[in-house]
Amino acid sequence: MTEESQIIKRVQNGDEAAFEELLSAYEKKIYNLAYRESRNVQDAMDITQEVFLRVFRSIKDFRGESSFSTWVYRIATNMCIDFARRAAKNNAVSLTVYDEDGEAADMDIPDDSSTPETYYEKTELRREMERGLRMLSPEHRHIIILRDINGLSYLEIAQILKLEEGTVKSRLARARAKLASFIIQGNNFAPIQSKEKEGRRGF
Amino acid sequence: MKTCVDYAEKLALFYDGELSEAEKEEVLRHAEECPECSRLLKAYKMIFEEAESLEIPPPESLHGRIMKAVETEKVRKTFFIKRKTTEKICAAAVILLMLGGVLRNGELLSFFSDNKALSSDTVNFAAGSEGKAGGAGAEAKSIEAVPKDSAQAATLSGSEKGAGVNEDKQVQNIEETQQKPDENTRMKTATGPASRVEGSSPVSESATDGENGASMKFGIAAAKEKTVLCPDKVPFEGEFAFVMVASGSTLTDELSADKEAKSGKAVFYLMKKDEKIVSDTEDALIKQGFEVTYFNDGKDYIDSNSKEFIIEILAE
Repeated sequence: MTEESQIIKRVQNGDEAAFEELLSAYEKKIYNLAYRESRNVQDAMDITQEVFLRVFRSIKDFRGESSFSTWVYRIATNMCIDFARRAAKNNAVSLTVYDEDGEAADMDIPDDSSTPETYYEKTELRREMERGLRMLSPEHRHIIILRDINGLSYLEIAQILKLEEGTVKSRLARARAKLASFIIQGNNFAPIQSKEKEGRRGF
Repeated sequence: MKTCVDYAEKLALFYDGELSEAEKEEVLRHAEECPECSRLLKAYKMIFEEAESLEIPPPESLHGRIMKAVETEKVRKTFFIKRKTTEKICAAAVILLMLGGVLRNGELLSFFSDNKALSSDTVNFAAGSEGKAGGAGAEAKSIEAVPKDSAQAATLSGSEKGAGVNEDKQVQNIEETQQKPDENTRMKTATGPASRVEGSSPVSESATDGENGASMKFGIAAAKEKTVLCPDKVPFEGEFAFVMVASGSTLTDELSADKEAKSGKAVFYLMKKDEKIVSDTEDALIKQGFEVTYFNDGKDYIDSNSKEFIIEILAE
């Protein structure tokens, strides 16, 4: 029995401290997922709280058929989808725009969560990536968050999204291609090229 | 010959570390010859390197907020009584178990966060003369709590026992007031989706000083609404225990997965400041054939500085 499954067992037996361990292990990841989807600190906190309340309520039903991580992410993904649906319903003005491929994406709206200070601390490139992420369709954005920000494997993403691994790869490739294209068109590609000259990392 | 399109996916997945060495070499060879793909590959590298930096720490308050919500959830669960709509609600009673302590007027009734309207179904409890708090504490000696499939409320009586218990601690009986027949009937036949139990009217209206101490009315409402409110704070000062009895075919909604709850057994809740009294009461209840489960110490919702308990007791 892994350490995590022991913790889960304890939570299932009503151990609140054990639940806190699970929360500590996953809250940052889930918060980031929620934040990238909602673009708003308050909404992200609300979504994260709802996710963990759902985890708490349902953990007795968790049988370990998937990994706990997959289970939590699936709950979070569903919550984010619900949130997006509710937000779309509540928006009087449609924020969806269509690119040249006819693919739906969200209109670029300023991120109200950044204070001026934190905003200027961000690198140009990071800002460009954030803008690019916002321009992606929800499906593309979600898969990039899961893979590139949360660092999940293809298999884990496949399980969370209930997709074939091949579909995950092709969707991820398409999502990155769109993001890359957005970045190339932006103003921030040059500094990276100069960074390249200083020496490649990795590969 | 392969074109850029053929390399598109492998270029995009290049930095995932999932390509074979041969695949990587092939992609790199193509990128060297194709400025467009070379540019793309650099953009992918950038995404790969920068994406991690997009991860932000959650606000510091998030963790505490979630834990508080979870604790609220636990407390809420204990007070969330739902009745099977297909079954009659049979009985619900609020019973106070006074164990050698002083109940200060107002404290008890603030137990419930909603002191507004309630039905006239009331339960009186009569506190004995003021017992001294502390010491060995009193113990529930005999508890007669018989969940019934009728509107009869259970009656619990706690009495002191055991060596070291001050003699002036008195047996304290909690007696249900006589319910008017129509009220009784209402409880029996209420057809609402669930039962609601809530606090009575303000103490000033319901508490009287009996010759042996405080006598307070305590109320329960018949099945009108869905949930039973959880207390925001229970400022217990004296040594006493509180037992809420909901017998008959009530279900705790969130506990419905539990077989005991599914079987519709009685659910009791007991809150007590003194750990010994809690354990003594628990012993007494077990002797009476109850299954006792602790499921919350209610720390933020009762008194963060002391130890109170909520006990779920499932009757056999």
